[in-house]
Amino acid sequence: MLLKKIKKNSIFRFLASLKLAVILLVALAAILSIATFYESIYDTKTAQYLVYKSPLFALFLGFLGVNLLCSALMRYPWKKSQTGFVITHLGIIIILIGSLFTMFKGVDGSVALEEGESTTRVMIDEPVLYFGRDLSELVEIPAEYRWNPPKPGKTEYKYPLRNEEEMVAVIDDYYHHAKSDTLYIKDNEGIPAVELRLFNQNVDQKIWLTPVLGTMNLGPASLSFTRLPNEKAEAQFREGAKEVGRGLVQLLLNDAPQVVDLDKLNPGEPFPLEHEGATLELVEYLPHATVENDQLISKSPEPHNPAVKLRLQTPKGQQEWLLFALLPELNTRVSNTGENFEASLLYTREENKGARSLELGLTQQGELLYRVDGKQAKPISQGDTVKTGWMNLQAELVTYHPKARKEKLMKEVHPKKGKEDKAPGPAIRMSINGLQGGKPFWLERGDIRKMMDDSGKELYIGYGYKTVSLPFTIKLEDFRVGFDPGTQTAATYESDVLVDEQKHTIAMNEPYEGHGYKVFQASFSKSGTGIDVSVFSVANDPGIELKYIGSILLIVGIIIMFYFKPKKRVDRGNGTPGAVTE
Amino acid sequence: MKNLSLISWLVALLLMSGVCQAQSELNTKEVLSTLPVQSGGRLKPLDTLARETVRLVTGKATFEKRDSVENLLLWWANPEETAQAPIIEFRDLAVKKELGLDESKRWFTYQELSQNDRLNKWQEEIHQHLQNDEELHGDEDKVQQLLVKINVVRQIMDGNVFQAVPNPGGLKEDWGSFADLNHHEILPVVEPVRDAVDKLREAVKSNDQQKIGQAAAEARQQLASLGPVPEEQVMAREVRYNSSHPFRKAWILYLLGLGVLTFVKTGEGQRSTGYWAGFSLISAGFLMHIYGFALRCLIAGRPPVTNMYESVIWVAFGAVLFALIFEVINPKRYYLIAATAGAIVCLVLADTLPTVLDPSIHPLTPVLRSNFWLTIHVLSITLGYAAFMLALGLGHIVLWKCALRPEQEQAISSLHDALYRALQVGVLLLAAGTILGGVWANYSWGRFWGWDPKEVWALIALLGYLAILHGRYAGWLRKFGIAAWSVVAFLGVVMAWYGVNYVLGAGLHSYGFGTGGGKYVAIYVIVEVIYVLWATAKHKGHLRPAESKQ
Repeated sequence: MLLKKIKKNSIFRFLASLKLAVILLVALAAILSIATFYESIYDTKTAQYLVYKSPLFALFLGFLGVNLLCSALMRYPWKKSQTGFVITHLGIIIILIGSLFTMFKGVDGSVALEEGESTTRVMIDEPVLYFGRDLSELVEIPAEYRWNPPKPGKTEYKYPLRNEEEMVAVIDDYYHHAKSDTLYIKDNEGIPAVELRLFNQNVDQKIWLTPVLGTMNLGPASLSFTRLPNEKAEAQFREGAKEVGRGLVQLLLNDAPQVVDLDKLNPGEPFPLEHEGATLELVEYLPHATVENDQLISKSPEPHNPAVKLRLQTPKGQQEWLLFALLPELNTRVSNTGENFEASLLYTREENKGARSLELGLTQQGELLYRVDGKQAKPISQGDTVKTGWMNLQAELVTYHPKARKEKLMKEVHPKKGKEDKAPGPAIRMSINGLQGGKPFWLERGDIRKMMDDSGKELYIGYGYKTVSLPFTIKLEDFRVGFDPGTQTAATYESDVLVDEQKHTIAMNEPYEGHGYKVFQASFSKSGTGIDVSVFSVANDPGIELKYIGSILLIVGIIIMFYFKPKKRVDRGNGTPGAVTE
Repeated sequence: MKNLSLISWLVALLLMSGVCQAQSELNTKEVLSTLPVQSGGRLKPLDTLARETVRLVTGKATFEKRDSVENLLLWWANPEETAQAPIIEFRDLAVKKELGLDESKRWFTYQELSQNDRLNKWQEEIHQHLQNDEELHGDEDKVQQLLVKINVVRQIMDGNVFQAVPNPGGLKEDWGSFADLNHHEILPVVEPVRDAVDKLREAVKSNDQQKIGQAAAEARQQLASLGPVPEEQVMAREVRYNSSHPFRKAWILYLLGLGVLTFVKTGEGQRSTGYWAGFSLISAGFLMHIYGFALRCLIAGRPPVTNMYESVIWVAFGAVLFALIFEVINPKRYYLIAATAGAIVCLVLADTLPTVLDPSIHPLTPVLRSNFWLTIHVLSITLGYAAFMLALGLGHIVLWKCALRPEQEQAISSLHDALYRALQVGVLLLAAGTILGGVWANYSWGRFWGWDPKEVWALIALLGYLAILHGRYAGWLRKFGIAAWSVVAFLGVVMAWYGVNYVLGAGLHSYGFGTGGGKYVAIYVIVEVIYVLWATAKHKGHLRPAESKQ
């Protein structure tokens, strides 16, 4: 009776009408096609945010479901000839309900584990802010700003912190690709800092140096800035390190070791050894040994490949040796006269300590000195450019602050299309009253910081991804990669995992299934310390059964509608599918 | 009229005779063309390699009236002459100008290109871009294609292209090339092989057929002595596939059948001799189609629906299959006319546009290997496309009749019923295929539906046809409207089928991506829209008959 009444309602009749169905079908097709072009022009996430995962789109699908339901109810009580129609529409409604379950209850995230590591949480690809007094009890707040970024002075997002009276986090700026730079600003207090620009035809780079930072490496070169605290240190710095000479020979004669400094040896002057009656004589020193026209010669006086020819004389006989400092495997005994005796020689030469180095020194009087490769120091002042002698590199002293403080500067970068993956991640600027006096600070994605609030209590603040706890613990025991024969292309990769102390192997297309979850092998990488990291995608789709049931009903319904009924003809006006027969 | 049917069978037999030729003893040509080589990740006969290589370099299937194997061997044996022969095709006018090449010429010599300073500089720039993982833009793409061709010619001249030296470790291991045989550190067992290959090279150079025959047999024997080689039969099968052009013969037969059926006068439900003649020709073409498909399956070791070329051929196959079934149940001849017209377009495109629709057989990416659900979902979706293509053909005929022969009401009615049937089949298959795609996605990625562009466009295409069916129930669409909209709705199929891979180029179905053909598709879309508008105008009587008399 109720249905009969409702059927007469004009709104219901509109919701149940075929014309609305046609309009909705065409509209859905139009929306979807626009979304695919969005995806092609921008990226998948933009299309998902604007269309597929937006509340409006969900509402639209809901409306479609209402239309389906009403059109089915409109025709109740159903005739036998309408079986296909009813089953098909029921199938679609069930699929839509299944999607609701997926949307609200489903989990689709990832877990990255190092070998030996375990977790009970899965990471979801949705950015959040973390707050909390305790690291184990962090509150997560959704923080997707990509499409509606905060603007300083215009749009700000405010989050009162839970359980914290009057503490409000304010997000007022966002960079989707943020690169952090550290720089030093002149101040009345603080440490001395210099900014060097190093450049040649290929490289042009600026670098800050302070005495606190120690030695920085730029390619093969090392850079440093030190304070010279007393006169002795200053004198040492000015003079430069002692040149390394020819090097040392380690000698083993009748099991008795001896070390001889080659700088003490001169050609034609046999040097007496500790071993009785034995002498060592330098025949030739070849600092840059090269073979040219089958002759071993020294190409230059620079010690690029130092070699020595030595003559070892004992009462028993005489041996001649050719020794290489850098290539000891080429050491040979060139000749042997007289009786054979046991001897072994090794030639070592330490590299210049100051090789490829640029050192800056600050005297107590405030004078700035520099030295290249540890040689004699010279004065330098702001604006000077000096040659380093390696790779045609020149160094310019861009800035010098006698006293400076450190500042972190966040810059937005705009990667080219297709390069976004390799660009740095996003960062937000946040300020909290009661924390550092409300001074804003930047958080890059992945940061979790322990801060002290103004009352001296700890507060954890972070910016990262949403996490969901799993009903089980997963531990990575072992990870293996198999390569295609003769290539470096990974062909197969698999992980041995412990799920609740039970061992399982997860490989491509062989997921772990249990607790309503599926764990797939997605990819792998290496951690900073070189340990294998296995990445799993973890999915729980509570709507899947409904979707499958709905799908089967849908297909069965179509088959019944199209093939187990007499041919239909066009009906005039508001026709009822299935009711009209030829 | 009886004779017509007989003649059509004879034509069919004649075309098929090339396929079923009894195998005699291997002659010189066969010895060389079935020589197994490793290329593109699989073992193939030299014949296939030669066809692919010659087509890549010269842009033509037959260059200078020699067959491809002959060309390839001649280029290899006479490197000095090859370097000076104009064999490298390049057609881009702007780049030719930039390189200072003769703009009126189509083929250029290896020598002039490899010594072109501008090109060498360009190569360095491109190399830099590729190393930095940057995209090539503007003319660089064209230049890169030219550089690939030059490199292939170099590899032909030095023998690197012939990876025909078996690996004792097995068929899946890396094989050596003829160039590797000249490496100074080869093992003594390889020396007779090297000598045999040298002898073959000398023989090809001398152009003495008898010598070539002997040297080829000797070289094959020596090569086979080094390690396992694929069975002769398998290589011969692929050569047969290459040379018999089954899909070309299929479309010729379809064309003949289409011609016969178009001019035959048959009423609804009747099967005249003329009808049978057309039916037979198309059936013969269909057998040829199956034959080609079966060979391709055997060669590739998988169902051939993994790239654009194969899906185009499969859709043509599906359309004819449905038409034949419908005709057997209810002879109308329109099913066959519509289906073969579509199939001919598909097969001719596949036959003539090798740069857009690459006919080479490539090994599959790992994610596509041996998966049941994957195969099923692709097959049923593409069969859905086939049904819609049949509907498209029928729609065209309905529009034509409505526009020019509105008095043939019975024929239009009959055509409309046929069109409606085709739409039903298409909707069922596309719906089922899209859902099966969800099953595969759930199995492979752990999600049923992820709004991937390929999924979405399959859904959009389906929604278009659903709108037509519902519009029909709602009384908005009549016979003409259904025909017109099913022509328009096919554009959704074109987008799902071609557009996602070639225009959008986004999403997870990236293994099917390609480039080219955009112009043709754009022209097709415009022509369809104009045709529908014209028919609509005619149908509504806006266009007076006097204006369109011709």
